[in-house]
Amino acid sequence: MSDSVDRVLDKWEPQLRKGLLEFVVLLCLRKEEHYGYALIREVKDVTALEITEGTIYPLLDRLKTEELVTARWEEPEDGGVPRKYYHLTERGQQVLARMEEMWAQLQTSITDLTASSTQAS
Amino acid sequence: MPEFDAPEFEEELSARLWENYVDRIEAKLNSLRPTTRREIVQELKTHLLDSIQHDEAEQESVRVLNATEKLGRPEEYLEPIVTDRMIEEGSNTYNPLWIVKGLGRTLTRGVKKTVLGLLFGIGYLLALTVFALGFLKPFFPEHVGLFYEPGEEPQRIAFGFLEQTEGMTEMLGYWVIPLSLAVGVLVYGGLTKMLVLLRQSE
Repeated sequence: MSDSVDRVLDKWEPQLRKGLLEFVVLLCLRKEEHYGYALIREVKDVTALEITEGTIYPLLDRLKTEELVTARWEEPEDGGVPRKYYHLTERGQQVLARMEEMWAQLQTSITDLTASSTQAS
Repeated sequence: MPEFDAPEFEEELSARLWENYVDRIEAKLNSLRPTTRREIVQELKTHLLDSIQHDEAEQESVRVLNATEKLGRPEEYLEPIVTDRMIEEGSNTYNPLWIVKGLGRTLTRGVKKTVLGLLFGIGYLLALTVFALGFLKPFFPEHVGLFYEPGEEPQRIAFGFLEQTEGMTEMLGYWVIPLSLAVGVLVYGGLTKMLVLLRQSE
């Protein structure tokens, strides 16, 4: 039975983490601006999600189109590799604030539901 | 946008792996504008370089291979960018070529997008057909227009290119030309505007 439970969880958990990817990316960008590689490393550390690194770029492209982030190229003074940094816009900050409210509400609801369903069982 | 060349590798295999992967990226982005394509290629090259530098494998070619595998198949992860950029380009410029290319790609991205893609496709075809009537009228004056068949019911009214017009009266004359062109342009513009609004609402 534990095998079948694990199989269900093996499908559910990645879906849950993938659904939160946009939220996590915006949270990371609020901390500080990032370039793609550093951002995906932080996202993978936070979410423990095994995602293809390339998938971060369509997401960032979409966030840029929606004006939630902006991007700029930075060329290091020592002649190193130029990098494209992403930065949260004011609109992105507002959207993220709303996401956090919704996340808090959802957390409360789920916690209450978990508590009540535990009592019932 | 700054650009940089391929890094210098110690192993020939590493260089080949790098070139092969970058070629795949460029091939996937081939249909985009050169400036857009160059920027995305540069960003992904930067990512690869960072990934190679942070990989702990001893052998250089293994580090390159690991980096490409972690980044994924460009044919897959770049697809949404290519589709969105095509539709964006088409809806910004009203260029039908970009719109057709972008809509064509939506047909493989789920049921909803397929249905929408087909509906827009039909709409654009209709716009093109009506527009074409304006050009056909001078060559086929008796077969193009708004036709009415007087007489007992059911009466027939038809607009377009009709092969058999015997017994029917054409009501617009050469006014069909400006009317068809105007309606065709309006329908095309209206659909493209709807496409923009639809993308913004997603």
